[in-house]
Amino acid sequence: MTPETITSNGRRRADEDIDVVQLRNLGISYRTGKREVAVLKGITLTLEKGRILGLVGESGSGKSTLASALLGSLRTGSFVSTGTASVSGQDVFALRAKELRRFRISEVAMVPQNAGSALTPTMKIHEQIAEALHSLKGNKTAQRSRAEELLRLVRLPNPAQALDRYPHQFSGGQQQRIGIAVALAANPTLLVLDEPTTGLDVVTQAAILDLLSGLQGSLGMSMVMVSHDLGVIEKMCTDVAVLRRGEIVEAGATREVLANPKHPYTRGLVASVPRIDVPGIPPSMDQDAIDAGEDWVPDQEVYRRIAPQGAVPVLSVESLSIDYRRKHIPGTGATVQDVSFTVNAGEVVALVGESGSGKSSIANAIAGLQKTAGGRITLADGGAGGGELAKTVTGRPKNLRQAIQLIFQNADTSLNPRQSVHTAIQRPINLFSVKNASVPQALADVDLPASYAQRLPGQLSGGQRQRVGIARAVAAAPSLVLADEVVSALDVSVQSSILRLMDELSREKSLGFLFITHDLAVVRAIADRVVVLYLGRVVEEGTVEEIFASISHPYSRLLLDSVIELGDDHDAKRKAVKDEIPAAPPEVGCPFASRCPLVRDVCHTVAPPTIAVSATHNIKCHADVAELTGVSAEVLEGTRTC
Amino acid sequence: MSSMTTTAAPASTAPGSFGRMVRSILKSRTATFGFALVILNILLALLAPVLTSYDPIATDAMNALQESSGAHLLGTDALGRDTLTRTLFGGQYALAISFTATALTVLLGSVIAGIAAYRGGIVDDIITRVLDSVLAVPAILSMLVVVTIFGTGPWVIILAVMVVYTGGVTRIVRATVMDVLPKDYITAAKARGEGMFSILAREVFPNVLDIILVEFAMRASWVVLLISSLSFLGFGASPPTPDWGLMVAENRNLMSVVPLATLSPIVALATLIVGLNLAADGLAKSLGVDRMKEVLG
Repeated sequence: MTPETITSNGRRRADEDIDVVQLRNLGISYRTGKREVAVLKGITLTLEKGRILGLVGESGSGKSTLASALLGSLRTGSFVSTGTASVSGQDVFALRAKELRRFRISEVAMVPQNAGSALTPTMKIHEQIAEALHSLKGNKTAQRSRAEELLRLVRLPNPAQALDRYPHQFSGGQQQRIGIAVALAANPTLLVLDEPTTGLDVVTQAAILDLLSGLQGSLGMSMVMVSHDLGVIEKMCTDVAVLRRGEIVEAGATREVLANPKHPYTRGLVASVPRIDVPGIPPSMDQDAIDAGEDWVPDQEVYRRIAPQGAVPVLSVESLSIDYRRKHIPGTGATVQDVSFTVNAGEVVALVGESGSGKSSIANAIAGLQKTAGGRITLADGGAGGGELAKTVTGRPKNLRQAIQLIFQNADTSLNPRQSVHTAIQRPINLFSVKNASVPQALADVDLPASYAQRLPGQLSGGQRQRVGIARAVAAAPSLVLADEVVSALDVSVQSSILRLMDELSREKSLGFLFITHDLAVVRAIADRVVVLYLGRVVEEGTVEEIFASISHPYSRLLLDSVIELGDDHDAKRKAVKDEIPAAPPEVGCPFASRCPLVRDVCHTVAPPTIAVSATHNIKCHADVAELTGVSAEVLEGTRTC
Repeated sequence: MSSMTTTAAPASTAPGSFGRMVRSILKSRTATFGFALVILNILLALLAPVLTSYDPIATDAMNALQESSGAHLLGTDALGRDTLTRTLFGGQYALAISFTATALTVLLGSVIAGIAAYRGGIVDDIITRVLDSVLAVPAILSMLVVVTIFGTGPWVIILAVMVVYTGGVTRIVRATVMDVLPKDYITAAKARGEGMFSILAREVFPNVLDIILVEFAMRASWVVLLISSLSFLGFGASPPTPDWGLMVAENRNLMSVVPLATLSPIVALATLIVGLNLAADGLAKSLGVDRMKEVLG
C-alpha cells in the first residue's frame, strides 16, 4: 500500500535535486520501559519544490511527529529506527547540533497550531520577529523595518503600531498571522504548518488559508500542512498523504485521492465528514473491518434525523442579557442582550456563532454558572416540576439542578482523572436520588460495555471519554442537556457516532439538547432548529432547513460562505478577506453593521426589526426580504477591509 | 461500537496507582535509601522498649559518664542515663511530634488553600496576604513568640510549627488547586449544585494529592530539624524528656568526656533528615512533581 513517490502527475524524474522533502523508509519509535513503540513506520514520500503536501490523519496517526521530523526534531525518548529524512538535500538526522541550527535558520520554519501559546507573552511583536532575523543581527533599524514588512505581508492591520504590542493584545486569528510572519522571517524553503487553523472559527480560518495560499503563490516556497480537516487539505494542498497508525495508507495528488479514494480508510474518512449541503449524520467508520484488511466500503446512506412532533417546551429564555463590564463604557453594549429562544422536549437546538458571540456565556447562564443582568430563564417540565431559574446554581432547588446537565467540548478535562467511570456516573445518581438509574444502565445508554465502569479516564479513548461524559449527564435524568462544542475536538470518524448517540438520546428520552457550536456542517447534521448569534444578539432563528435555505441574514451567509468543505470548487469561492469580529458589541443599532455588505445609515443607530419570513423563521435586519435572498458572493466581494 | 475499539491503556496499572508509585520509587537507588532510612528510624523508635532494658529517664549516679561498654553500648551521660536508650526513645518523641505537627500543618494548609483558591476574590486576597505576612517573619522568631506566649509542651510546639509552616503549604497547594479548578469536571460538579467542601474533597484534592504527599515528606524533614533546634535552644522539650535537640544541648559541654552522648542524637537526627529528604525527592520524581518549583514555592 505504501506509495513509491509522490510527484505532481505520477511521472518519474531523474534529477531528484529539486525535491524539497525526501523521506525514505522513515521510521520513528519511542521507548517506554523495555518496549519500543513505533510512531511512524516506513514512511516514504517526496515533495517537489513549490508544492504543498497535506498530511491527513486522526489523532495518534503520527502526523505531527512526521511534521516535526522535517525540522529534525524528535520528542524526548523518540529515535529514528529506520530510514532517512532529507530536506533540501540535507539528511536532517545526520546533522550535528550546529549544522541543525543553521538548517533550521535557513531552510525550514514551522507555524504551530496555537500561535497564542507559541508567542512569548512578555515579548513585543518586533522582538519576536527579530529573534528569527538572524541575518540582520545587531541592526535594530533594519530588523524593525523588515518586521514591519513581514506584518504587512501577512496582512495584519496597522503593522507599524503592532510592532510595539504584546501577543495578548491580538485576537487568535491575528496571533496566527504573527506566527506566520515569524516563520516567514528567514525566507524558508519549506514551511511546516501544524493544524494552522484548527483553533479558529470558520471566518478567520478562511482568511488565514487565503493568506497562506497567497503567500505560497508569491514566495514560491514549499509547504507541508498537517490537518485533520479534509476540506482544508483539499483547498490548500496539491498532494496529500493519508496516515493511519504511523503508516501512509494512501498518497497522491489531492484531487485524485479525495475524489477517488482507494484505501478503505480514506473512503471512510471522506464519507464520515458531515457536509453543509447534505442534511443528516454521515455514516461512521468500521475500524475493525479496516484493520482486518477488508475492502470496506462506507454506507452511502446518510442518517436523516426527524424533528420531534408537537412542541412541548422544556426551556424558555426570554430577553436574557449578560454584562461583563464593571461600568458602562460609551459606545459598547452588553455582551449578551435581549436573547430569547426556546428548546422543546426531544429537540436539538443549535446555538451558532463565531468565538466571541456569547454562546458559552448563554449556556453558563442557563446552567446557573454565570450571573445574568436581566431576563428570565424558565424551565417548563412535566416530571421534575418547572419554574423560573434562579440566577446562580446555589439558589436553585435540587430538581431544577437535576433537570439541566452539561456535556463539554474537551473530553480530556471533563472527567476527573482520579475517579473511575463508576464513581463519576454514580455521583449524580446519588446526589439527585434518581430512581431506576444505575451505572450499567447509563453506560448502556451510551453504548459502552458495563465493564468500563471500573476504568479510569486515562484508559479510555477520546470518543469513549466523551461517551462517559454524556452518560454522567444522562444518568441524572435531566430534561435539558447543554452540549458545548461536544464533537469539535473529536476525530471525524468518532464524531458521527457521537452525533448519532445524541440523536438517539433526544428521541428515546425526550431530552432537549442545546447544542453550542461554530461548525455549521455539524449543525446541519444534528440540529432541528438553529439560533444564529452575533456579538451576543440573535440575528436569525429558524428550522435547520430554513437557515440553510436561500433567505438568510447577511451574517449567516458570511458563516456559510466561509465554510471550507470537501468537494467545493475552492477557486470559484469568494476570497474571504473580512474584518474580524469586533471586541465589543455596539451600544446602538445592528451589531453586524460594521461588517455587513448591506449596511445602510439606519443600521448604525436603530436596532433592526424582526422580519418574520415564516412562522418559525425570523431574521433581524433592516434590509428587506428580497435583498436577503441569496446575498451572493459578489455583493460581499465589495466589502473587503483591512 | 464499531469505531470505538482503539482503547488506550491496559487496565492493569492505572496512572498514579499505588503499585506504580512503589515500583518507581524502588527503581531509584537514592529514593529507596531514603525510605529505608525513614523506615529504620520508625522501626527503631517503635521497638525502643524491646531493644533496651533501661529507663530513658531514671538517673543512675553510680554509672555516670561511662564510655561505651557491654552494659551501655553507647555509654551514659552525666546523670548516668543510657545514651542508646535515650536516643531510641528520643526517636519516638521526635517522630511523634514532628509527624503530628507536619500532618496537621499540611492538612490545615491544604484546607485553607482549597478555600482561598475556590472562593477567590477578596477571601483569597485576605488569606494570602495574612499568610504572606506570617511568612515574612523568620521561622525561629515566630516559634519563639508562640512558645513565649503559651509556654512549653508538645502541643505548643505543634502549634508553633503550624504557625510557621502553614503559610508555605497553603501557597503551594493553592497554586496547584488553581490549576485544577478551571477543569470541566469541576464545572460539571458546580452545575450539579455541589457545595464547596464536597467539590474540594471529591474532585479537587484527589488530583493534588501527589503535591500534598511530597509537601508532607519535605516539610517533615524541616519540622524535625526545627523542633530539635527549638529544644536545643531550651524552648522545646523540657528535661528530662529524651529529646535529641535537648540531649545535644545537655551533653555538648561533656563532648571531650563522653562524645557518644552528643554524637548519638546528632547521627540519629541526621539520618532521619537525610532519609526524609531523599524520600521526598524520590516521591516527587515518581509522582512527576517538580521539586525545584516546590522548594522555590
